[in-house]
Amino acid sequence: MPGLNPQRSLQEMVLTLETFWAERGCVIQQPYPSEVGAGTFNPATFLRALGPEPWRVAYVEPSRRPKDGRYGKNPHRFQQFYQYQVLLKPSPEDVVEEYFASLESLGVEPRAHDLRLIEDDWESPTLGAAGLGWQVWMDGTEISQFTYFQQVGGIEVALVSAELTYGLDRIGMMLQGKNRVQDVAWAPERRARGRIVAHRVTWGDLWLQNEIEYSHYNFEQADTAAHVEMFKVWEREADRLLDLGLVSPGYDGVIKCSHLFNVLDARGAISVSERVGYIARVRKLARKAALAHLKQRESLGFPLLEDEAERAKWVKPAEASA
Amino acid sequence: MTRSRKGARRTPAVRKAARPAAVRGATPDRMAMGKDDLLFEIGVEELPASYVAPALEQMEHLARTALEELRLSCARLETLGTPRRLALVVRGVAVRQTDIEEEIQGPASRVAFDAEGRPTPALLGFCRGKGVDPAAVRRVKTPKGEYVAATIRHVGQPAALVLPKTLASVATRLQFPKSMRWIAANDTRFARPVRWLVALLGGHTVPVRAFALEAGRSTRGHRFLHPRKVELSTARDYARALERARVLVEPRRRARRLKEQLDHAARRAGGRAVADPALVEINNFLVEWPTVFAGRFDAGHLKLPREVIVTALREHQRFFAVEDGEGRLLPMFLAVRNGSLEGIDQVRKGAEDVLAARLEDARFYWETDLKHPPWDRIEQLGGVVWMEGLGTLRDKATRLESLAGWLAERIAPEAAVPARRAALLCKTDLLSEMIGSGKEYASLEGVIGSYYARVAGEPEPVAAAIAEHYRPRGPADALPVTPAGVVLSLADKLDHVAGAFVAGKVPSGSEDPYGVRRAGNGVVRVLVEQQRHLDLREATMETTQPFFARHPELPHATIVKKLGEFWRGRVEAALEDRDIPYDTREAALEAQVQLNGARPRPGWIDPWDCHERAGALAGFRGDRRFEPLVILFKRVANILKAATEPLPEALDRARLAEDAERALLEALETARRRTDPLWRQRAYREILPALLDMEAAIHGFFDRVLVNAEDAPTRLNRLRLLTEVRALFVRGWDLSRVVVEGERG
Repeated sequence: MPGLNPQRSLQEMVLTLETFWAERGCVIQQPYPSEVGAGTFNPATFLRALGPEPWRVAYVEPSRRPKDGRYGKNPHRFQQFYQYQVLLKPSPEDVVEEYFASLESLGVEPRAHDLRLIEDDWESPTLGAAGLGWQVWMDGTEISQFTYFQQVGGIEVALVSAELTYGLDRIGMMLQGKNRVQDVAWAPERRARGRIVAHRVTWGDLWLQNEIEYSHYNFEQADTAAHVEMFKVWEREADRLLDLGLVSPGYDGVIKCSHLFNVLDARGAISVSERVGYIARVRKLARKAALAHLKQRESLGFPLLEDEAERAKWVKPAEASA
Repeated sequence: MTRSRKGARRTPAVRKAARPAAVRGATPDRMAMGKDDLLFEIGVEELPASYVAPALEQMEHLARTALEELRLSCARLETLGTPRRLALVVRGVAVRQTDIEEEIQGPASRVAFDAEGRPTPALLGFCRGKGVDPAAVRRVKTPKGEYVAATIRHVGQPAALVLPKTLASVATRLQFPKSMRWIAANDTRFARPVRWLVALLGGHTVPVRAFALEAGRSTRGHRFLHPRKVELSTARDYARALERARVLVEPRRRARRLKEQLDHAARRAGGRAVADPALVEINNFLVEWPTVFAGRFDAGHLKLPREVIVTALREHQRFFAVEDGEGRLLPMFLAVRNGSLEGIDQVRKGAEDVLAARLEDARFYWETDLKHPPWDRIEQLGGVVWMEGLGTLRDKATRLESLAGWLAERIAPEAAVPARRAALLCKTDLLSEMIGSGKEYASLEGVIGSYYARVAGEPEPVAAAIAEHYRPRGPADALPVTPAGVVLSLADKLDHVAGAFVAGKVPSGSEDPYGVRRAGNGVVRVLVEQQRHLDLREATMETTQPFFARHPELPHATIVKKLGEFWRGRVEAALEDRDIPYDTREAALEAQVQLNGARPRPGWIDPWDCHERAGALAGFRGDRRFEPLVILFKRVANILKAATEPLPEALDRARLAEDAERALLEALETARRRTDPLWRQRAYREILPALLDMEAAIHGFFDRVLVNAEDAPTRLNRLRLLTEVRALFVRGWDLSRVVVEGERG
């Protein structure tokens, strides 16, 4: 792509990654239109990682961690940050090499940096998901997480996926040589015939005010009683919808519960012992969603399985004919 | 392969010494056969640093056993590895298995031969089945009569034929703390995905199949410095070929280079790297090609406690601290990079930026914490739960304060005041930002508290006691040294143990999630190594009392009994750690110690005293008087063991009419007089031989006096006399627990 310089702006970085992974057979999806704590919550990862169907997907995920807000003052911590998420199922043999190749496509010359794979046993207690893998460090900073899923929704996975999660903000800071995320260019300056047609737009231009406001909201203003109530409502809805086999709306309820819990947690409205209880409630729902999804895919005959012999192995005869 | 079958026994011809009977005509010609080097490499995605060395150890052990079982001799076996590869190199492996001879037994001679001595169909059938020439069978006599026997020679297989399965099993049997699946429809696990296998015997590949891969001759170079395959022509070529591909595969060589570079970089900066062998080891298994570089940080951060800086450097970033000739930290660090010097300035800047952010965080915690003197935080301890159901840290502080006073009275009266004050303060650092918010500094609990106490103007003995009160954290950790520190360290652990038993968090098997055993071992270590006396039963009463007062409903007697068993176990473990044999330990633990006329108490109750007695007895074992002493005691103890009648409260001296009786009484009283001061001085080494002075009198008594006399008062009085003799021994040792030569087996 002419004129694309991933070292100049975040959006060019994203476009480069989209191209890189599209060329490797990934479906390029879009962020999930609901508040999620990480790209893993997106059903394109959480649900699709289950079952025997092959799947490759990549997308940007604006992720919310209410507790990490710092009123826009901290150069490294914010309540909304950007992940680039890639899920490769099954994990290809050269997946680590491909990941490093993607960094090269961003202009990172591996020999000139200290790139490390540092052990990380990843776990999401709310999603009942766990895997083994690494944090990827570049010159001492964590820039990505790399996980081979072993369990999702409390279920041992049928096919092990590799999940690559890039910390876009961090990588952008390093590529652009900025010490504060606020100063990172989101969009570059554009000129036409020697004249500026569009000025450079920074992360701060776009999100600083949002950070300040959401920090106030998450730490001071969120109505805790309402959140406790909403949690109960969505917990009930998710449970009911999943019973009906309405997997997508049901799973959306799970995502909402998780976010409501995060806000309550940031707000300091949850004691240590209550915390464990809330997490267990979300995990229980996540497991239910995972089981409902699996059942649904099976009843559809695992449509993404191209190989008939493979399908025959996974689909129980009674249900295949039903 | 069948290892044994009925009537047959296989023995490698080389293991002649072990089973000479079965070996006939060892085969030196075969043993001198060809040898070659074997290489087996498991190529893997980056392993956790801490996994590599243990995996290499297992690999060595499994391979050694496997080669032995395969009857493949070898000259030298070694393992090499990095985070990306685990390798086995065996020098001088026999290219063919050692031949073995098998002795097999056939039918009974009377069945095998007819009247004319010709082979019967039964023998011929046997011979056909075993592939033996009927002319080669022998007749052997067995307890069940005469049978025919034959020797079968099994010619060894080529190593290349038998190795694939064995090496695959070595690879798949490696165990890791956590392992994973990654292959579709295959449950094989490993710590991280295995991506290639190399197996070479000399110049030939050995087709090992594992992890859905087949071994070949191509390995891989450094991930970034040589991102290509490396073809190996022979096993011998391995380390050199990898070095050309920027991988130092020998851990020891890599560590040596790393240390040289650390020293060099530190010297160039005018200092020396703070010694940290564990950190060298971690870094060594994080890299394939180490390059050390130095970086700096803002000298303003040197205001932070040294431990905080070292932790900030070490825990996340694995950096080494640098100090000057006087041991003062310099505002710099040494880091190890997995690569060359290319782009080193960029790498350094990244490292410096990350460290700066960490130190700034630490600085923020430190400065925030300084606004809260520890004394002002005592009441806030009420907001922190200590152990479920056992109240808060504030309650613990109260208990520790009183327990510190009680202990100080017994072991260090001068430390009572600082120990009690430190007891109230010692947990307040758990409320600090440094420990509460900065997770990587959690290991500094206690240490950081002592800094805050000092800054707040607490007296030095108080601050030192706070710093020392978690010590020792394990068998290798330093002990507390200041008197108040010792008192508080003991108080903290005694309270922890008692609380855990009250709350039912009792260690079982290898499970000890609350670190109760560790705390108990810490108490015993402090008492034994610092030669301090403490009555653990009294301590148990003292430590459980506040819990029992709050929870009258608990089964107090049961808990106290379990605590007694626990402490006995800890004391025994300490004796075992010092290589005191089992029977000697038991003798010392089961003594009935009597001090200054007090009621006798079990031998383990004062750990140091028990240790001294066990040590004296263990030392006496080499003495020629040892065995006579034990025999003497057993003679007394055995007859008393058989006596079931209740004995009189006191000895009736007038009733001792016979000479031998009077002689024994006299010997006993002499022994008492002689040993009395020795018991008080705990001069156990002198007591043991002194007890033997009663030898002649005791044996004389048994030889000339009928202990179990018809007349009951006489009989009971004699038993009473023997009980008193026994009691003098048992003050130190129950020698009936000791096994001496002639009794074994």
